[in-house]
Amino acid sequence: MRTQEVLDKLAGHRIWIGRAAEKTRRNAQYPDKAYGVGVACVNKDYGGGADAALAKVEITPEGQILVTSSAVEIGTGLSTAIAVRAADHLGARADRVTMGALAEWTPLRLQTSGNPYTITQAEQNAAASNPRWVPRLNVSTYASIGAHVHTHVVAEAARIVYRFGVWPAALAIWGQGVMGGQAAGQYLRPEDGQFIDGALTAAGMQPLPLARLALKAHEMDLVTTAMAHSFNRWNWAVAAFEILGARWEAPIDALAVQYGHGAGADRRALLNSDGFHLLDRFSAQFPNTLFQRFGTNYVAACGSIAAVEIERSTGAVKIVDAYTVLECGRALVPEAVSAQAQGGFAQGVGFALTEYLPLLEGGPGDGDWNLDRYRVPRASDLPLWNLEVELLPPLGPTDVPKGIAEVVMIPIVPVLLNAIYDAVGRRFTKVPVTAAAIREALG
Amino acid sequence: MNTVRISLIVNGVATGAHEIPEALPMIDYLHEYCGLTGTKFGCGIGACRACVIIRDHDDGTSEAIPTCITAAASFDGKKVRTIEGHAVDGGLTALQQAFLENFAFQCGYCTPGFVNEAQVLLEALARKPIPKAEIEAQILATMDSHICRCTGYVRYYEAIRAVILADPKLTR
Repeated sequence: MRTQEVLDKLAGHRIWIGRAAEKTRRNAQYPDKAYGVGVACVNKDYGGGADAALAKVEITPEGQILVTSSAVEIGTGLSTAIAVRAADHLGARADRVTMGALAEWTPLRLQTSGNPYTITQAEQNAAASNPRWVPRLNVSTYASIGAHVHTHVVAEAARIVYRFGVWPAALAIWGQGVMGGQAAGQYLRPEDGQFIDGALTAAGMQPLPLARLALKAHEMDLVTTAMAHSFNRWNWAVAAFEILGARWEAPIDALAVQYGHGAGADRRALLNSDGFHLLDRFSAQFPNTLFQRFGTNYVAACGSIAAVEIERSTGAVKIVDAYTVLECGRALVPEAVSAQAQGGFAQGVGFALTEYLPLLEGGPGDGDWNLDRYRVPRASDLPLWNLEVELLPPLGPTDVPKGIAEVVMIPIVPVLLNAIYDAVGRRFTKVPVTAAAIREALG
Repeated sequence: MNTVRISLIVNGVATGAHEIPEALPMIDYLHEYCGLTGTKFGCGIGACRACVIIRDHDDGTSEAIPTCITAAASFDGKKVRTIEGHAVDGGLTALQQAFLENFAFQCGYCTPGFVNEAQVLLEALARKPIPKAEIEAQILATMDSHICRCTGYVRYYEAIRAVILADPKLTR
């Protein structure tokens, strides 16, 4: 956790440092208004404690990258993040991402039993001896798991297509020619392969575009599709598989592969009726059932500062300046992460200042509540041109992409309550804090 | 049920004549008679502006009109543009491209309304440019009634500002 860094960012921000001087200046210039600054910081958990995800990553002979995910998209962020995650191992963002796939996964022949939240260790051990068993098949898009859990299985599948499809195809091309071609004289490791502008190179080898490598992988009957399942109970299920004669251990618990469009008779014999070679896992390690007792094991931090100006005669709150800082691990799509933070800010404003539905009589059950009465914040309720969002840079390129969908809203509510307190000297403990409530408190 | 017969120009194409219920909302006409489902039904009371389309007047001006509370019959003989009418041969307009490049929208439900209203603004500025210093206030005045639940509006507004600043004919 990097909470201290978030707090240091808040403490060093111009709105915070200059708050006293700005208050003096503004209150002198606008005696009919009260200026105040609020700050808050939260750590928010993400993940559900028994999360499962499925992905299929395929390269076509033309070098197109096709990704299918079990996750349901509710905007544009997750599918974009998934496309980016494929590029970690294949050098280019996915050309097509299909979300919410339900019927794609029969090649894995998955079976499940028990409740992943309450299953005993003995029951889990017994069930896990069946290589088709997983603790849970799939979960929905919830608990801010998209960036971490749903893209994880995409990355693992892409990694396998790279290691057992793209990389050996590259070795074959680099090894062509007299005495081992250009590869002679170099010790080439798969982890040294790097895509530069969409072409793979390693140790000075000729850069090869993905399209050429994909065609070669198809011609050689290498792995061109990987379909995988992953499970997370505050840690990943880990299993080993034999792929093209090599042992492969990874944080996945089920795997099936395809060997190119030109698969020869010996490879074709391995395929099941869905056209996949279903691999039996060995040495599967599922997270200890004691982990069921964890409240959470994954958190992201978000801090925020806002300056408000309150009109004394009406109690109207105007947010004049704001800053949000976020520790999100690796931001897969920084634009989407900051967009989420901007949206979270607006939802926090709604929570703190504008949105209200009465319970019971007179409430939404009456059927006459709509956007004319339920006040979702509008652009004019926000510090639209003065909302600064900062993402802390990751510690390194392998930082986990953290789930930040919810955390970005939460500090905004205490930030605004603190800012109102700083401005008018009154604590409000009920939300939304309406202009009428402030006016009444000010007498 | 009383019916009326209407004909209009939708995205440059003569449409109708259709015999329709006289109280049929325009959004239902677009969905059910024209097969144009890009216009989104939001609040149904003209409060969120997700459903606005562009009505082109004979004098060359245009306005954005909510289709959930406006009868299709009132568009008889008129010219309208919907979200399907912006891109030409698959080529996006500068505004659509800017929304994409700025990651302006998320779930996309309010996007057709934002595209239509902002396009009307751009065309109005082309006829009557404004000083650069007034751009932000003008965008807010035009777009503030559009409700978005996902984005916090920042990237929509920044995209519109970028398009206005990129075209020297829109400001003075």
